[in-house]
Amino acid sequence: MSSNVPNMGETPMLEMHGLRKVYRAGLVETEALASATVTVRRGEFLAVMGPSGSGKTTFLSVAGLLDDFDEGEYRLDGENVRQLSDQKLSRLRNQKIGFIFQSFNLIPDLDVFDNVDVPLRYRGMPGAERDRRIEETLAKLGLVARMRHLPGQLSGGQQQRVAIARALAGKPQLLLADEPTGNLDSQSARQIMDLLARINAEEGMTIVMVTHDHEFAARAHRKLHILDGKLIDPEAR
Amino acid sequence: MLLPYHLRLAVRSLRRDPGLSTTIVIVLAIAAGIFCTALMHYLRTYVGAAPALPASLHQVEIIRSHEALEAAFVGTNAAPNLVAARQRVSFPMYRALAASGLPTRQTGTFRARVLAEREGSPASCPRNARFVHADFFGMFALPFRFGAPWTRQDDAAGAPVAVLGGPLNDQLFDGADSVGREIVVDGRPFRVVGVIDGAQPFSPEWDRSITGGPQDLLYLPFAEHERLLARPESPISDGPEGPRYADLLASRTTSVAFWIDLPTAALRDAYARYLATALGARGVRYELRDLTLLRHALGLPKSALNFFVFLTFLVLVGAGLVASRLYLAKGLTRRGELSIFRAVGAPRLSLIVRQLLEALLLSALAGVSAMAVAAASAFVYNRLVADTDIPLVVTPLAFAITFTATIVIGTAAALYPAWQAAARRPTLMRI
Amino acid sequence: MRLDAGPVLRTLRRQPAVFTMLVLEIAAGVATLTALLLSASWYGLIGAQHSSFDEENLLLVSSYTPGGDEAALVASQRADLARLRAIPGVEAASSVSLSILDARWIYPALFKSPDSKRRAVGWPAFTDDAAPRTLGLHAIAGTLPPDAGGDDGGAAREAYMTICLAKALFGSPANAIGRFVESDQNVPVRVRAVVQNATMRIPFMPHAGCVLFIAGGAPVGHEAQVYVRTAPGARDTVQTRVRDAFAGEARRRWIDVRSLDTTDSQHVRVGHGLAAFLSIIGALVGVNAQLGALAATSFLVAQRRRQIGIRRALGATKADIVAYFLVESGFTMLAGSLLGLGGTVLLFLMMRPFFQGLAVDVGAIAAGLVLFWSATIAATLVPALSAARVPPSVASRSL
Repeated sequence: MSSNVPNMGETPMLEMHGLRKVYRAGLVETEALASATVTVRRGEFLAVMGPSGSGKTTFLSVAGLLDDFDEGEYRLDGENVRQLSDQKLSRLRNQKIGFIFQSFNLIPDLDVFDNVDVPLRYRGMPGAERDRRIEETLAKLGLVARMRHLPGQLSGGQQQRVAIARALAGKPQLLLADEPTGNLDSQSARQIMDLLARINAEEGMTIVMVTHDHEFAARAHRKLHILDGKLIDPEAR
Repeated sequence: MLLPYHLRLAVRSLRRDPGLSTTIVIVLAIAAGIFCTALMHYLRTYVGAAPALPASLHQVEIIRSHEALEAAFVGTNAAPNLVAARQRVSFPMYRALAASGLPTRQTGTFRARVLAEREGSPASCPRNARFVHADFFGMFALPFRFGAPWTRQDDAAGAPVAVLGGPLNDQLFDGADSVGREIVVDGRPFRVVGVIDGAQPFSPEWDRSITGGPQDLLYLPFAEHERLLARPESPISDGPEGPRYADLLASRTTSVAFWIDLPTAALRDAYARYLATALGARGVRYELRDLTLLRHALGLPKSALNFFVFLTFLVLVGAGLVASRLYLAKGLTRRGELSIFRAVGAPRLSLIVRQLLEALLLSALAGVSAMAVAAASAFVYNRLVADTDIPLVVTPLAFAITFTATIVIGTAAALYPAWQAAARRPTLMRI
Repeated sequence: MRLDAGPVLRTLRRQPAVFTMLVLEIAAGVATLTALLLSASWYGLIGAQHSSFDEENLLLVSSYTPGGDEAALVASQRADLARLRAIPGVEAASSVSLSILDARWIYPALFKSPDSKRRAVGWPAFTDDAAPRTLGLHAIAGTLPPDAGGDDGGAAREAYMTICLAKALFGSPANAIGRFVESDQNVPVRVRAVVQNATMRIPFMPHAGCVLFIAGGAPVGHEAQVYVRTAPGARDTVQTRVRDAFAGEARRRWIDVRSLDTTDSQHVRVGHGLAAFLSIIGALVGVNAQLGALAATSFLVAQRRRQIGIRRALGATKADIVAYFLVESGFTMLAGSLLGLGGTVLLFLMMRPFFQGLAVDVGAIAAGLVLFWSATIAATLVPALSAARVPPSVASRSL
């Protein structure tokens, strides 16, 4: 484990204080997050580990503004997101956050180019700028030859690289990855991990990654554990 | 035999998507109902529901030019009059044709308007009366609700008898058995001997010109026309005539449809020889036709109904395309299920068959439901468009054709989606 | 709201069979709906058609007089004419064989002149010398017969014709004066005047403007039609007076007095009825098409729930999601409408032989398109709005 986090400025990228998230199904309440408090600095690579059902995905969903929360405070890049409108939240997701999912979550009807294009369209970027960005990102990830292929025509590793390209094309400040290697063979998984590490090191992108794999988690600057909705920082003990 | 198994699976699949299944049925049923409405119109005009008439019925067409009628009527609602013009003869010609004594049955007929009321009632609007001979009713198989036609003896004796059409009997006698009762026609008393059952055919064989119009309400002996001075409805002039009724009877104006029954070849030959003498020798061009030839040669011309049947069939095809889209959407949800079936050994054809069975069931339901739409449509039509007193109704033939068309189109709509869905690769993975 | 048309178009192009089916579906809907509206508008025009006569000041008195004595019938009808002309408010009355509005078919004649080789189809009207005044006819050429006002019918073997007949037979109105015209319905008659074209409300008929008015009296039979010209504004009053004048004969004869209001004519009622009925059918066709669109789009929304969540996760607003579905629907709607309009043209060509004088009613077609598009947008909007409510958290949930 390493704590060599580049200090990219005063304002943390992600600050959560006493965050609580409860799921309600009829009379049953499930506390998915219980009083979660964490600060993630700019440029930090954070790994979050925990058993199934511990609240990892909920944590990532809340962090990525995909889901709301019931109590507490959450500041993203210094901005309190609690009372923001749906419109504003969408804009924040689009401009500041990139997502990588375990199941890739590519849109099956769109080819590689159009998949990477989706977030850029919602940003209102001009067509020429969009095309340039997409081609640049795909070239960086070695996907130019597959530009017009559909997701169904790609291997798992290639699909995940497309998902990463989609996440990176908009030059976000925060990358959230939910088990990015979960559906990949070991070689592809290692390649993806190398890629993420390189992105963090070379571009200083803040990465929060949920993983089961200790080997991959070791490549992060810091590890957090989550158990029954509670965040545990081993370094804090 | 896997058919019952496939059927069971098909029913289960339909129940799993009740919203989608209902939508498909509704879409097809509405379109089929619309198609059935046009079909009902077409069938009652061109096919009719009249009982099968003997092919031994004959007519003589006097060949002449109808330039004015063709110029004016072709392509219009009056097109049936073109047929009528070829089926009618003048009074002198009728007398010549009727004088042979050869046919086993014969009748002249034309329609005129008369005042007909119960004794003591004030005059109401003129009614359509058909002047016929006794043989008319048997030749055209008119069903009787009460009583019977008058006889040849009544004709010969000039008996003042009448047969009422069903609607007139309803108006004058509240639908009761009026046989033996008296009505007054143009001030003269007539005794009711029979009442026709039901409405007359929409396009009656004996007079195509009244297709789509009001029915004959009253039947009177042919000879009464002279006593009543009954002027035929819509006479077709073939030369100017004088103003008196006697002038009409002597003129070339065509008014009378003359029908004969020649049930044997010998009789037909004899009548043909008679015509050659009576007409051919005078340079009159004519054609003797039996009912089959008559229907072929003098069929009703095409009308807007032909167009509407085609248009509404397009509507049904459009509904099939809508159903196809919905079947495609349904196919998306069952990719996994069908792939698993393939994985455990089901041939592709069996999956296609199952989906076609689903479509067949839905189409059958739609075909039956279409009758409700058609009945409602006929009800609305009868209320809005009072062009005739013969109501538009759903007939067994219209139902059969509509049902078949719905089945064919509804099932064909599922062909491509079924093929698409069955083309999935076999897999045991969740899709 | 941002419209990603390019990716949508590429997606549609990748599914040519589905795209083709969608386009055909919309084309069929557009073509059948516009054809129905065209036919409805044609029937509606029939219903709205007026004759060229001064209908506001005209009454039609129809009668049926029973009896087997022709001389008595002639006397009765002459007496009727005299009685009508004597009623205060009646400016003229004329017996005319041709009906301006009637549900029964009347037959045209093929007119020809011994003096020219031309022939023309038109409508003979047997009438009397009071007809020009009664019907408001004006001489374009020649002179109309003096208004005899009597009951002799006027000079036999004289006639006056409308301009269209005069041109068809003799080339011009002036050339027709003094010439003879005959047909299968009338002996040769001498043309003494040419009058303005008379458009009658014959149901669904062409050539309903070329008339030969033949003096000498209308044929006598049980039925008679007398047109009565009333003083301006006095029509309703005169109508009552006429009914009162003949009230005593109601038991023996049938007498009907009516104005020429459009609603009073059977073929007008039929025309309006058919227009309404076809419009209802058109509406059903439109609703049916949208029912399928609504169901299919709802299904797609359910199918694409995860994709919608992903798009929301990537920054799409609710409006973007709605726009996404509208754009997809819009492409097929545009392509389908264009093809459908082509279908409308074909259907129009098929209709023309059966719908006399059918013209392209741009209004009806435009109305059909607007209705169809509005309904399609509404049918797409409802599930699209539902799609917009899919939360972005759907993207993060495992399968």
